[in-house]
Amino acid sequence: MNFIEKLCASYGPLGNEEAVRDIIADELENVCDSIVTDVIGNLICNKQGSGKKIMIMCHTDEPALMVTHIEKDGFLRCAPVGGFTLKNQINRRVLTDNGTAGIVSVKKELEGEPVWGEVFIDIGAADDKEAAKKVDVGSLFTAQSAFLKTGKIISSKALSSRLGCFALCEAVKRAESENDLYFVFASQSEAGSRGAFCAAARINPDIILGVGACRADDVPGEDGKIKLGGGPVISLMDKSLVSSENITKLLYEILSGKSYQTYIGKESCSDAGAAALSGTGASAGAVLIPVRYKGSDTEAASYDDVLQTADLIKAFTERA
Amino acid sequence: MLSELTALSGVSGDTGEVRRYIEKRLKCPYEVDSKGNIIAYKKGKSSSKRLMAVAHMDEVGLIVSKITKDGYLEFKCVGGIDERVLVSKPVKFKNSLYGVVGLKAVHLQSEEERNAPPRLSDLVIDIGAKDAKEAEKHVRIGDTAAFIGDYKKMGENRFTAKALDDRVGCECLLRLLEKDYEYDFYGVFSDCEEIGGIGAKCAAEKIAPDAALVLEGTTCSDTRGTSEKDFVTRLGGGACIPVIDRSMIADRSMTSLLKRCAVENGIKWQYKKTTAGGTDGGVIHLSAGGIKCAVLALPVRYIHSPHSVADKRDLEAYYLLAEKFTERAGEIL
Repeated sequence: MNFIEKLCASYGPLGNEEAVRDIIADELENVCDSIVTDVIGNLICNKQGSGKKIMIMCHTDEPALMVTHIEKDGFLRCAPVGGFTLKNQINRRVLTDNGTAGIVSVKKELEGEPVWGEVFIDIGAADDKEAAKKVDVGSLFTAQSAFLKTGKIISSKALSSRLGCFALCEAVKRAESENDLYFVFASQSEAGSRGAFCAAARINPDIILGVGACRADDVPGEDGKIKLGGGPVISLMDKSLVSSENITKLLYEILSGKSYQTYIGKESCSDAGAAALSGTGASAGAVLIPVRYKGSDTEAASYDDVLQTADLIKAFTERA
Repeated sequence: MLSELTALSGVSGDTGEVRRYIEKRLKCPYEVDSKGNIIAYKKGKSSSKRLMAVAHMDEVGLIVSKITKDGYLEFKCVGGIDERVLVSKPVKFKNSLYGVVGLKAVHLQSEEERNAPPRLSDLVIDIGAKDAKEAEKHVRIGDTAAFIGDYKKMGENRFTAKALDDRVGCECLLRLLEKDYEYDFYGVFSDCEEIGGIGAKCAAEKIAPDAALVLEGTTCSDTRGTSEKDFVTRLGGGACIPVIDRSMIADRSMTSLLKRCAVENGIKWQYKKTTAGGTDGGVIHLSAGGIKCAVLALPVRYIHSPHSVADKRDLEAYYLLAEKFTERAGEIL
């Protein structure tokens, strides 16, 4: 399995991202001056320098379903943690940390739209005793889907977090900069950028660059403003951040003559906004990777966009 | 004593009465900070690490928003209150002024009004004043009114009172502060938990502990007409250890130490079986660059109402588990 597939396949519900952290820490072991995991679960990799303190971050976590109750007949009741959309989850496969697989479903005859209270997970247990051997209240299930490569797209669960991790790792390996670089693989983004907020408080950077994902709408019946294969996306405004002018100006300069896109919207795309609220304040901006079917377990993206994003991050570390 | 603590009024931001009571009972050094938190301090055998335990003094209640010409008080809720619990309930202002929440008489209500839950705008506090002039002698806009709900035993093992959330935490923390510890121990009695945790946030930034334990009262909905999957907790099921709620993912080293302490000491415990709800932990664990944090809670029926109900066996389990955990907290610091 190559690195990007390994990242996508790894189990990393919010608050339990250690499997993802381990893969990244292994990959970057020999290219950083220090790698630490902090209290909230961020992996922070530092490449020391005498210049500006720059924090570049992506997030490692994916949404999950928490087991809230085990029924007598062995079915599990659950509640979403992070951004799972219910309609994307019915009749999907999920997996927990000890390898227990399950199917998320609801009864056939539902009146109106399903609600979480009616959802159950079937792990094939005969009764509550058998189920309790495999899971407990608090167990976290994440989406399970095989990595797919078809034509010009790649598809997997958790792409919108792990593609950022991949691009950031590629940039870390190649970055040669005078600046003091902190690469943050942030935890608990799905819960509202909690990891990024804490990391920025610890690092107190001069400059923040978020690496995230935005929804590509180049599908039948939609506008196609953000396209797969259209290159990295410069975020000018998202739900929590209007990017600093000096950051976007530099991103435009680096991308001059290359293909790129811009995003202005109100969706949550990167953790940069939360990080910018922390510490004593920093210039902040974000670059986004276009992702189709965002929030589903069959998210799709263009590998070329990811590689170009890595190039952009590398250049940013050197020219910021 | 819990019965004394629950008799005190302490709507968020107006917790002086509770604070003065706690100050009287404290035997260790403490300070009151600018947010109205009490920060009590027990020096440990070693000062290389710090544990913080937090209980909130404030409770949900009402705040006067307008005095009407005819002497009634319009109000808003402070913290989350189901408006249906308010009708015909007595309330108390700080100057001992007594009031009753009033609603239009049932025979005057339209069918639509009778069939719908009362809206806040339909309710007023009646303080017996004949007009605005008389009312203004006793009350100002911004004054808070607390529920009245006397502490009473119920059945063999249960009891009722208002503000069990979170005077049970305050009583528990007062007991913890009577003991000595291996590492420095900070006991924070916080204000404003019910409106977002401003008090706890400031205390956490100031103390920047290595770990924080939040002592709480939590939802229990094991009542008639509710299916078991929606109970959240069960009265008599023991002290409650939440895993994930809306505000925080509890630190696993701490929840696992809580569980170990329970199992090894034969203390009954239960999970909180929902991801809803929030505590001071939400702001604490994001303070000072990230703080390890977990919650220990007492299951409370009819929480945020004038008459909540809890089980004294759960309460004993809760006190004991808090004590065993803080004794062994060195393992996770």
